[in-house]
Amino acid sequence: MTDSLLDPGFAPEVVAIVGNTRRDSRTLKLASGVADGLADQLGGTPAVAIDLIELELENRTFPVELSRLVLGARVVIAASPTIAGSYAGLLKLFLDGLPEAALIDKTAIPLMIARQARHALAADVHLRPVLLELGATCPTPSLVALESELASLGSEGLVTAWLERSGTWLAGVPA
Amino acid sequence: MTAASEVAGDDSPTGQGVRGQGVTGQGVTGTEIGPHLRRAMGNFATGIAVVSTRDGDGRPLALTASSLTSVSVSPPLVLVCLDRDSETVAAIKESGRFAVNILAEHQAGHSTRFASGEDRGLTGIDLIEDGDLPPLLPETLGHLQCEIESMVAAGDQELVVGQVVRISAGRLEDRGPLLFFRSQYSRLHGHLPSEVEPVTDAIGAPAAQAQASGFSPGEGVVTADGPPSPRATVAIVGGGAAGTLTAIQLMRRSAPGLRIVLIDPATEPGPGLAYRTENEHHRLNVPAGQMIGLPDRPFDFLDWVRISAPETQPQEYLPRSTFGRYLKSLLARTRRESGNRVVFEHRRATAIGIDGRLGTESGEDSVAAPSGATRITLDDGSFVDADRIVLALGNGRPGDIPGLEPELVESPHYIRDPWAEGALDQPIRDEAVLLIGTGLTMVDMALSLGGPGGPTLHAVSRHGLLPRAHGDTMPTRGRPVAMPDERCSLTELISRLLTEVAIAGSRGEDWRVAFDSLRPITNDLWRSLDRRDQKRFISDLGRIWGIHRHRMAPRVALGLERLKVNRRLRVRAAGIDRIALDEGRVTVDLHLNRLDAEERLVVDRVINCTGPTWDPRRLDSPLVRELLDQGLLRTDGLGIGFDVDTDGALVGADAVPSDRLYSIGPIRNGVLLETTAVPEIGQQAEQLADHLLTDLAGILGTGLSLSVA
Repeated sequence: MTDSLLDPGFAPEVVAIVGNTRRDSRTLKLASGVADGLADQLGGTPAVAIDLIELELENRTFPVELSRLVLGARVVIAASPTIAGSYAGLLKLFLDGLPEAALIDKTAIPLMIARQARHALAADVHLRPVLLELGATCPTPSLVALESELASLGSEGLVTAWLERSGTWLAGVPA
Repeated sequence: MTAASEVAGDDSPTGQGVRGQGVTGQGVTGTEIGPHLRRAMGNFATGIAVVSTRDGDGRPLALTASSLTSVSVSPPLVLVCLDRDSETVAAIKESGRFAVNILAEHQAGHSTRFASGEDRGLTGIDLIEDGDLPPLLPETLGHLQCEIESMVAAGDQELVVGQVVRISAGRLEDRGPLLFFRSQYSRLHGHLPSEVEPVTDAIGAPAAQAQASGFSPGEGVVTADGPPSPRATVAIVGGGAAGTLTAIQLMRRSAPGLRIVLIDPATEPGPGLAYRTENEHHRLNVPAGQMIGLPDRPFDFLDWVRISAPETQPQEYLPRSTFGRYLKSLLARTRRESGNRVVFEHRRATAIGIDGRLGTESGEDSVAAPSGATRITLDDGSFVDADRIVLALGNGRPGDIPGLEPELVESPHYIRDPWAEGALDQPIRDEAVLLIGTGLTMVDMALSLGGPGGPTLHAVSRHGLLPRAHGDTMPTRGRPVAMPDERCSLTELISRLLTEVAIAGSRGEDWRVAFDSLRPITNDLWRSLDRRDQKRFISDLGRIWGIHRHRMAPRVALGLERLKVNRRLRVRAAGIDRIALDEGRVTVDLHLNRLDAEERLVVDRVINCTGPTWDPRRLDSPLVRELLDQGLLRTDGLGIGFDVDTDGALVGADAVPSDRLYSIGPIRNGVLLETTAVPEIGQQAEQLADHLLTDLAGILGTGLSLSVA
């Protein structure tokens, strides 16, 4: 339990990192829902979703506590809206600050909200390679929510659908 | 002469020096008149001002003025009377300038300090520099910068008339003035209605005569007619902090015709169980500056402490008994201030039952209680008929530890409730004691029992986690955190907490700031969790939350550390496999959780330190049992407290909030996450008093607007 913010600590197993430049965004809501659902499936401690925009940067890096939180997790959800066809720079800034191979032995899940259908591949083309580069395993499909789907299904509907679809992959999440 | 230095009686804090100077060459008649004049003028209440200036070397100098008078507005002139022989008067003559500092209610210490002899340099005071003008005292109600207009000698005083050249208002808008009345420092309590009728007939006369004939200080104002006969009764069951604060808040609202009955077997209401302990090691877990019993007077406790201990700092963790005494004094003060508009009774008894027909239409059959009222039976055979009842039951006794042999439980080797009256009265000469639990109760017990010559203490809990300590600095408000708009999930709550921890960390602050930031909205966050998430919080995070949120005072933590270092106390994360009485001692078989190993202890006594329970089904109260039986209350969904609505009304078995039964304090646990500490209870008392009086306005005939006196 060395990677907990609180000592003696609480180390959540599922951590979502949200890189939206707006506070309390739909991205945060979606990521929280997925994190919550996953934590439930894994039967462990409650999950955590960190809204990067809430944090304060020092020398253009995020607090080390945040890295500790990620290093202590089993499942990391990297969440972002699509911005200019790719994921948000805020999330990149955080991922760049992680130590080398920080996500090794961890399961990572790319999650993006896409405004238009032509951006639906951004998660797989841009975000997934970065997570893999950091050492993560990405066994599930990315969660890509089109704005239209979000409007019709709602955040909860999308989360439920994705969790059902991804259950088989997640059964193999390393303990 | 009206102020501190001259009118002071023997009990005055202004000191001997000034009194000595006051008696100068008076004739026989003068000596006879002097004390009488002093007493007579003592009836003329004044504010207190300190005059500050600089001497020839530029060093600051201050003297409490005997009086301050506003002389004229145009030109702006004020008059101060100062001891003629003082260096301050000499310095004012020389420089031609002085400043007047109007003291606030917490500054009696300044008044005494500058009355009892002059003070050059004013060391230890964070003076406000005002350019070339005389320096000013901080935290006052206001300052006047003056230039000498004229000076006149009179008796032993120098009357200095000053032209006001600059006025600055004080920064303490929420403070009242320091007053001096009948040889005592006093404070203002409330204002008369803005339109006061001039006295035109005989009705006012008896009151005036009563005043003139002299009555002992501290008594309420005598009015011509007696107390109005009570039209509504609020009964408060329990006279600890929560019950007492509720009574105080009700009294402060001065609803004519209200009767308050406080039911508690203790000789004096106030301290209850929590603030009764005289053990010096038992400290408040909240610093003095944040022990806020009256939300509208946040400094009341600190100011009260400072009357006898002026050096007390807001960040100090005082003994719990200090707060107990404060509650007693606050109750007495409030009773005095409310005059006799509100009837207050303390019934020294325990409530054991309640009228079964509560909730039926009033006047149906001939119920013994007056129509609409509910009857509470007391263990002395008497009863109280009340329109509203507030349960202020405090902390419940610790629950039973499952699996203990009845033989041990019945024996003197086991203490089920260490807080019970007399539980630890007989000196414990044991060699070894087992404390079950590692929370704040254990900490209190360890500090009571440990130390040189005391037993070896073994503390055991599943996790073996101790409460964390407060930092050396004052807990902060942290940064303001907004409530989420929608329902909150457990993930969101924890995310917020950890985000705050991370932010605090990046600012070089510690995790405590994060908990402090969330405190104002903790209950809102908690309420916005659904039942399932609340359960998960309690089971997965309850302990982690508890040890970080409910912290020990630094010196308590130090004491505990000392016990650990000296091997007087050992803390283990362990389960208890077996615990048995064995030839006059107790054998305890432990299973050490982290090491997966067994260990056997032999102790002389076992103390249940698992902490209080608030599950009504486990509370040891005949009244609660009866309320449960009658379906007038039920446990909250988590089984950790009473089910109540947002006003604190008890929710019955039918899921309907009661219109006459209310709760305050720790028993609201479960519905609220923060409900055991004084700041929260103080807020609840304020809101509950408002709610009850609004509710009773029809019976009292008071209308809906009641102001706090």
